[in-house]
Amino acid sequence: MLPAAASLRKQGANRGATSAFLISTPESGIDSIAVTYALLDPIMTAVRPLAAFVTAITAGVLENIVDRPEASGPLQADRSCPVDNCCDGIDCPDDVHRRHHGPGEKIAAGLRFAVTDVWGDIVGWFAAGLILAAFITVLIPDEFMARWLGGGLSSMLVMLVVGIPLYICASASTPIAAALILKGVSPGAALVFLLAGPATNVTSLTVLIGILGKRGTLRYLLVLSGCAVAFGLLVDWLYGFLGISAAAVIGEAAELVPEWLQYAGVAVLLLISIRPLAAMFHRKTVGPKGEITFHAGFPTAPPAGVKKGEGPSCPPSCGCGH
Amino acid sequence: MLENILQFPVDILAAAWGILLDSSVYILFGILIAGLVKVILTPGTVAAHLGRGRYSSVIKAAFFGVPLPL
Repeated sequence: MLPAAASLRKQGANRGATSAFLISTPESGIDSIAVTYALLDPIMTAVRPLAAFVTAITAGVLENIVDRPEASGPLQADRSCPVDNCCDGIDCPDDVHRRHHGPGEKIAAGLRFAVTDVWGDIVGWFAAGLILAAFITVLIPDEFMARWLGGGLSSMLVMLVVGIPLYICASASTPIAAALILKGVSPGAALVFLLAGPATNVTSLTVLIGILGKRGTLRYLLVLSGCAVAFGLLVDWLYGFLGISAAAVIGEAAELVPEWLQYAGVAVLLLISIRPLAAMFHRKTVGPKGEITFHAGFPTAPPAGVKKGEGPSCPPSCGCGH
Repeated sequence: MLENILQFPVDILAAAWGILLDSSVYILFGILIAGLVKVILTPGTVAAHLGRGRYSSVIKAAFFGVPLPL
């Protein structure tokens, strides 16, 4: 996520657009929307991406008001072929570039991305989220948390304090939120956790300061917290207004799926989890700590203004045909 | 006492298994669509659409970021 945003900034996007992207991308994704529908309910499924969108726009617009973006040349977009990198898209006309691969090849590449990149990136976190949710379900008595986290501003603030330093992706935070709601946490407070958890963590803050600057990072955190709390209060009000008990309705979507399909789903999911989990285990136990590679699908582009073949690392006498 | 100690990991696994059963079909659906989106909507495409606008670029960046699984 962060390398994607850093590279977006390098490609010439202004700070406001970069911080908007930095918020809406981790706070919501198609995978987490689907998981939210499965484990929570339709209201949360709709509010989560909406809150991410509004938060992102608020932070981005504020950033560009405070710090007017510098006007410079056009964005240098990375146009390299997403299917197999067969073409970098530079000097390649649009209609030719679009037709390097047929629909079949594109769908196959999409399926490959789904299994390796998308699921490979979240499987470890999802397993951790699942175990944590299971611990909450088993260890904490029912209705136990209703007293402290049953709603109101203080519940939201507690969830902010928990969510901001925590590193967890949007999909993996969903089962935890479901378990919390079942133990009496108000849906609004759970939403604050769902928004603040994925958007920030202790280690990402240093990278954020590099991309947005110190003041920019502070504004980013303030907008993020303010919007999360506001949406949390709004959601609690909405459930109250509609007379819905969140604990009673969550997880209902799962009942729409026939049992045999559920087992088939688990089987397929476990099957495609073996490789990424084994690789992760292998990295942690044996093998030297290699270079960290990000599978963000966002190859680093040359900094804006530098044309192809004029990279600073290439001395004039290098003989590579300049 | 011993029974409780033995029962605890069984309960944890049962709870995790229940959540997994509830969510796996939706996860598969979600990651399949997300994979297809990654082919069509690469972050490079996002950058190409952003432009220089003070507000339009922000709205586009926020909008593209919502479905992107990163």
